[in-house]
Amino acid sequence: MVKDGQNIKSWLKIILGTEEGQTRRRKEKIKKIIVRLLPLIGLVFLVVLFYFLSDGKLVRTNNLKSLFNQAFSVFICAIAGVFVMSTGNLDFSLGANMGLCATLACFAAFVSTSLALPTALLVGVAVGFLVGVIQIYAKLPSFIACLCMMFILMALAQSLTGGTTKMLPPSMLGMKLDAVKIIVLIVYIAAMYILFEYTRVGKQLKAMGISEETCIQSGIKTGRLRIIAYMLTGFAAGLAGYFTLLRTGCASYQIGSTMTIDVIIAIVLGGMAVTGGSSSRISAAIYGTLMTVVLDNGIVLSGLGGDAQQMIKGILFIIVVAISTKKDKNAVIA
Amino acid sequence: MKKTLALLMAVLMMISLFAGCGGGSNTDTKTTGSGSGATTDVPEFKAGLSIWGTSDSHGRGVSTAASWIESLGGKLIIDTGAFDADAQIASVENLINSGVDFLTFCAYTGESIIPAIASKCQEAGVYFAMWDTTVTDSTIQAALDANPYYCGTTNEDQYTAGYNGVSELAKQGAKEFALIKYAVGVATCDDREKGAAAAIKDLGLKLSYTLVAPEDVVKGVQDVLTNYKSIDAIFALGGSATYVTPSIQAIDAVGRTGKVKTAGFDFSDTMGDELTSKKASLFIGGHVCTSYYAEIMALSAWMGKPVNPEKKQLTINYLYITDTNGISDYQKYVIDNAPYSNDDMLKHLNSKSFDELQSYAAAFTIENIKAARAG
Repeated sequence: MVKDGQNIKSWLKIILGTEEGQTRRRKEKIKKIIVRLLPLIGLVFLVVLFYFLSDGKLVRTNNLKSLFNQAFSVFICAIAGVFVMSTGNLDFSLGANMGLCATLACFAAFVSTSLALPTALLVGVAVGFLVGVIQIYAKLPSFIACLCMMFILMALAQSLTGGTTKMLPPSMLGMKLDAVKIIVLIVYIAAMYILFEYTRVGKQLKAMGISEETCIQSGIKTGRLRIIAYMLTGFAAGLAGYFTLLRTGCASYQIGSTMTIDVIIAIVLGGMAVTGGSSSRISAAIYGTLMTVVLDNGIVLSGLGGDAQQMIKGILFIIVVAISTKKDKNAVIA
Repeated sequence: MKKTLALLMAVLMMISLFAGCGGGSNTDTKTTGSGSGATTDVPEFKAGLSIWGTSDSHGRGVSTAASWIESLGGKLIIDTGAFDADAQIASVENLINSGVDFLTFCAYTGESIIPAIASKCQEAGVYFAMWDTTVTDSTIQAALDANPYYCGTTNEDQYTAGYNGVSELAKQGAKEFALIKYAVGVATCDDREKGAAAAIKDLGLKLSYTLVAPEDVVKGVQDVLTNYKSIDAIFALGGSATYVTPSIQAIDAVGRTGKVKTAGFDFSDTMGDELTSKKASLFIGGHVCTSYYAEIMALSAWMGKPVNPEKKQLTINYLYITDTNGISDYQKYVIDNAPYSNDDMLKHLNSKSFDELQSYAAAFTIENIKAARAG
């Protein structure tokens, strides 16, 4: 009883803005800032570590160019992945969708090179729409719908390519796209950031991650929101598929085969909870993607490849997550 | 507390990694070779190997063979991240940026990936050669021929291996065959199939069914065996681990263990048990030195005296293993110890012609290695 009374007293002090309350609020604020900065600290740790281990090769112009190209597709997909993950779901069909988009874009390029990008984007968005619709109208759990779609898309891409690779038309090989990719990425990040942080869609998606039931009771059309989220990952799959196609010069059903897991790892490493909700943020995808790419690149630059490569990667993952992830029950996948 | 521990681990790791990296030599050239053989100055080099992984039997063997070259006075960096087309390009970029003088890779995701990798190497001025790769597309071949940094490719004679595989199974009593192959269009597998079909025709045997890229191998083989009761040999033209092991399960499931022989390509981790239990009759593989010979071609080009100026394909022998003695010999003479001495490697590096190098590669058999050791 006495304890309860003391608690009420202390809460009253905070609410009334006493000196003690202000100090506590300031502390909370600082703590919040530190927590948000932890993924950045993890990234800086990796950069500093590999800068020294690679004798500075990590930050040479050519390597920075490679890092950007290696990160580009993961950036695109992980940022869109935040929209789905903020609702507490994962898009397991993302990688397979990317493979199909690249394959169909390759076929379209033989009709006209200018058809490749629209084809990839249209296919990607259509698949995303389908994934969302199946969940809502067939009342399937998200991961079941995504997994089923993943198998269908992989089989489609495999049968279209005959299980091998299909080369792009020669006019599309060896294109220098660095400048285009930088502009695309800047515009894409800005658009997705605004959509997620400053529009009703973004806020409602986060609310869905906190409690879908409450959203439904509040009159939010969660089904429509879910479809929008999957259409965004579909759009990302199309965009990433198209640029991956240009980078590799060939379509293959294997394109995007590891993208789903790359996206999940990037977002979790970036400090976002897979359960979604209010902690969801675009910056998690950016930091996480940079961490995974720097890790892969840095290990090779430091001459630490071979049998030890995966082991070192695992150990560094643990260290980075230990440093950069907020330790509460929702922080990372349990 | 956890954060302190994590930081402590990081610091310890950094120290140990620095310690590991600190032992490099500063000399620019090394004189290699024993007293009995030729000696030559091989400049200190840094080689790169881009591979899908080293946890499978073939990947492990290839990377082991690639590391033989370190004894000539260089360092090999292995990147095991090349598991799909995009990752393979990233892997090559990472090796180039790490400062390798030359690199080798296998275009295992398909030859369409080659132009992208070739242009990366040309831009960076890094010599490259391919292993386990055959180029069939004339456009790609023309682009490679025009690339001053391309040093050639190594592969096995797939047609002969297919032919020999059927012949060996026939010698063991097989008469009616089922083949299992990858999807149509995979050049290596298509050539093996042609060889196998020719042997079946030449030896008066019967081909009853060809199973193409089954999703569920056990079920696929079970269906074939149920419908063709007189099949007595299954020859997998793809990877043993993918096709032979599930085929054995299917044979067990239809109750025909001991009545149907199995054989396949590429050595697997389970082949010892499968040969001992007589559930498998032949494994064709051990062609790990493809990576080594690709390195020799690239190293010689980097040194300014290319052994393969015409950028031809070097043909490597397959090893044929039918019993456990074969496995232990392979382990002893190829994997545990490099089959070539420094003198041998210098001889390969200083080959006067491509044909001379080809003759060394053609002599890669367990018997020859054993004889060389005994001598």
